[in-house]
Amino acid sequence: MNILKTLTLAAFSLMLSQGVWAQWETDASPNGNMRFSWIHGSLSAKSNKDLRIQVHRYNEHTYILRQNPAVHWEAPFMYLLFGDESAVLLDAGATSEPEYFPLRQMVDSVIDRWKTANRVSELTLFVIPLGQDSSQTSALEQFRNRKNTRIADDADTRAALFGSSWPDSGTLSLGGRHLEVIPTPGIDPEAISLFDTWSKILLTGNTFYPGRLVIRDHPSYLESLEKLQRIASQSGIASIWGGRIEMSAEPGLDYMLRSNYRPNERSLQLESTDLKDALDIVRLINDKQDIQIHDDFIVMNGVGRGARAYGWPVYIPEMFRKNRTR
Amino acid sequence: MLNMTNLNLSIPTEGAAKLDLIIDLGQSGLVTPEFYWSSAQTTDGSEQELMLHEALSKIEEGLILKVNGRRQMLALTDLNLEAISLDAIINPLTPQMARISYELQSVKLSTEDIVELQLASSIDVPWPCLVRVDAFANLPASRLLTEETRSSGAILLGLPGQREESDFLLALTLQFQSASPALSWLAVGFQHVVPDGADHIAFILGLFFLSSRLTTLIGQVTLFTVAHSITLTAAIFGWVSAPSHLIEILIAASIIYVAVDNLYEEQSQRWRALAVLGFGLLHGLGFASALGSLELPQDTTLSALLFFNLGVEVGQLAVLVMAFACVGWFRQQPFYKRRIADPASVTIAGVGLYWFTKRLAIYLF
Amino acid sequence: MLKLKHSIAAISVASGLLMVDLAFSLGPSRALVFPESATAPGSFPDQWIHGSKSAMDNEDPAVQVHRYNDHTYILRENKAINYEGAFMYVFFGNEKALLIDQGSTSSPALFPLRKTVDKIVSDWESEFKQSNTHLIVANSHLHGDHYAAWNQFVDRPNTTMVGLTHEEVMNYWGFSNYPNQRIEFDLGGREFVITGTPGHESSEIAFYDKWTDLLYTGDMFYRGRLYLQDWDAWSASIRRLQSLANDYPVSHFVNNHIEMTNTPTIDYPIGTTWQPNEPPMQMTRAMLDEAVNAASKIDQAGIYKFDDFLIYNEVPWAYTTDP
Repeated sequence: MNILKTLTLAAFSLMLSQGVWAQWETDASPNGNMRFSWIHGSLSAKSNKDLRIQVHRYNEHTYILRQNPAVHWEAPFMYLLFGDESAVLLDAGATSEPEYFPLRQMVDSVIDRWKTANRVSELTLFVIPLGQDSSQTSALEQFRNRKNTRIADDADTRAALFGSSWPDSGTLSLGGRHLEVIPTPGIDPEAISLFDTWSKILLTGNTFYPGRLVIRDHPSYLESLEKLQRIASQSGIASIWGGRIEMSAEPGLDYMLRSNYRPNERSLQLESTDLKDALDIVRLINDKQDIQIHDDFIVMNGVGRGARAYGWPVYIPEMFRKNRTR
Repeated sequence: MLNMTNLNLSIPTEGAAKLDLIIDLGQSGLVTPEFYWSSAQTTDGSEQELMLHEALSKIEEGLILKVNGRRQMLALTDLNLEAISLDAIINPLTPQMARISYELQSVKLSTEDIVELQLASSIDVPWPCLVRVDAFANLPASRLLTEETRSSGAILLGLPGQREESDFLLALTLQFQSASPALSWLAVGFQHVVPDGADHIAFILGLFFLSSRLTTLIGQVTLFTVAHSITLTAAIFGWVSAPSHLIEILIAASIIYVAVDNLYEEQSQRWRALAVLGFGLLHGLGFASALGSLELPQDTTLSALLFFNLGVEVGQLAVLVMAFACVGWFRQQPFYKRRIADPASVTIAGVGLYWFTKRLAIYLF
Repeated sequence: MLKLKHSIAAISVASGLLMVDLAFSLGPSRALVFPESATAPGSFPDQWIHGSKSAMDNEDPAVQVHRYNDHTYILRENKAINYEGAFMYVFFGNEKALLIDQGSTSSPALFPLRKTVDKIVSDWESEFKQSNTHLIVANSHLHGDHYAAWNQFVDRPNTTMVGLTHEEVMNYWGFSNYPNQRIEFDLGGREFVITGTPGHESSEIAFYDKWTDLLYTGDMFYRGRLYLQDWDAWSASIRRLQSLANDYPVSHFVNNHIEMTNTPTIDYPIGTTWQPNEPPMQMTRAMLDEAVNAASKIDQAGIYKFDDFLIYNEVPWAYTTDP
């Protein structure tokens, strides 16, 4: 009996030390450490002393970056995912000047640290904006002259990277770690979302996030959400990470556009229940002009980004309803 | 700053002092918006108080009212919760304000007391907080509390030198205004003579020093009054107009004329009355240009004018009464003309000459 | 005929008074004159500080101090500190100074307005051999985002705080018939005419300086979005301003904000902290006339676009016209 136990233990440890269990193939989602608040600007943006780019290590192969709202009010999120052979940077921030927004420098240092920790010498970097908004593409220029880098900001590169079924669907392999690529137009005709089959995290960019979802093409958007919903039901989603936060911690209350200071933001992550709610709301709207406020996001159709819900059929506060006298 | 907090301390002459805190509770962090909404919907006052008990005790702890350096007890007397919808409460752009009223029961305040209002660091409200102290019948005192400056500093109630002399008259005017808008024009008319109308005073005194007979004086002043009322009305309604610089120069000239006339006419003549009439018309135009800076109310112009005229008459009367009280006793004395009336007339002539020269110089250069 | 002694006496009185008058006007305490017959010239900067692309990296001062002329200063709060980028004014007279509005940020560490104004006053005193200048701290209107730094002046010696309540404002300026009244205000020999202009806010006043012929209209008329709280009051006020401009020569209409871009009808949305293409702050009589015209035509809620300003009639403050 003793010998058997020892042998089993020995075999076990041998297997562990050689990493027989390929780290990318696991049924359970890997653990990760999520922040509940991010750097969020200050009362006087001019006096802000926070980091320009906050880097948060979710787990050893997944990093979340956030641009300081005192540098640019859009304060977008960017994601750095690592695989055995390549890494991918999703979205490239809202500011192009490296002295204000040193994205390249930051990404390089994270990559170098990862390479050292994981004893990898060469790593290709894919820089993939999830849409064409200036808050996602401004710092792409910083990566143009980088070695071993491919920037997917045009149709051809996308087609080259995402496989043969593109543009209907696509895959992106980082070596061991696979990402499904889903075209999700509706807000942005060039928008894409990625699903990380390893961590089961859905990265939705500006298609779905805790903020104002300003639909430009209702049928396409409905279809996009349905696609995402199918993934949720088939594969199970651990979490949904969007491209920015515009909601405050107060259910249904968003920050004004151009706020450099958001002291009470909602958390970044959304759940599959939120996705289902969004789908229901989008169906309800049925391509009418409307603003629907959900606790965690606001769906707007056929109106400008700065439109407000009051003065709207949804609810009109008394102060905007006084009788006009002439 | 749409939902700035307000702290109003009102101290009446009779009764207890009241302190009102007007605060956007839903945004303050003291209660959640949902809880504020359900409290607001409760119709029973004492139940509201119970529901908001925690927030209210935090406020009572952090809201400090000091009288002469000592903190005072505040008794909650009323709770008024505004809330048109939960959405409106949540949205900082449509503030729903709660009014929390306290009474200061144990202390009777007087104009000698010093109050200070503070919001302790244990409590945060939507900043800034405007403090307003209405003590007795005085003008309010205002202070601003911010997250960094949480104390109003010492505020002396009923500061005697709080307002300057001119403010007293204005305050008087304001009091009249509230009593009856028309009456305020009476006060304004009075002010146009006393103390603002030095040249009119000089002219009236000029008339005074001529005649030793009261009836003549009264007659002349009345004539003067009627004349200036006519031109004043005419000018205000735009029927007549004249350049104000010229009018001022001519008024100065009229003063000289009257004063010189005093020196050389032993008694009034008929055409003197005509002169007074003429000068009255002139002075009326002078009043009009001064009145023009005050915009008369559209709908009650006539009554405002009437009361203004009345005010001017009262002012003139006051001047005459004063003059009488000073030198009127000596009217019948032999030395009156040489020792009092003549020197006075010379002085008036001199002053008139001074004005004439100065105004002419200004006009020419 | 006139008796000689009477004439001599009268003339002596007159001369005596004239001498006294002359002495006073030439004395040191009345050194500065502000003649109203001609317009005292002044200048505007080619461009005001206007925030920056990255607010965090803004290198402009917290407050821009612009010398319009010897005795008139225009200040602007840095947009990277607060997006309002509010203008404030300092007018000087003999031994008196008038500060109108105190910006949108209260903390002196972030927005050292007191220090800035103190320096302006002491520099002016040395330059013009003045002393003991009494500062009047006043407001164009009582919105908190224009008096945030009011507290910084509360402990300043030789200062009058006009006050933040309607009653104090009325009392200080002497309004007995607000708003339909013109108050003559003397700032140490420099004459102002003040009139009531409610509509954007219920205690708003406009200041006309007879020396520079500047008409300062605060928040009720500027190059940007005119948010009107009370349409009827605003219409009456804009007409009142027009009537004032008919009675007095106006060199420039100055005010509290620039929100327009230099493309007609296009504004920088609320919250913008970088405005590289601003038009000048000052406005013209033609623009005022256009506003008066608008006042008679508009009778519905909505956004009305004019080349140099926008009327936001009953439109929620946070609403933007972003596409």
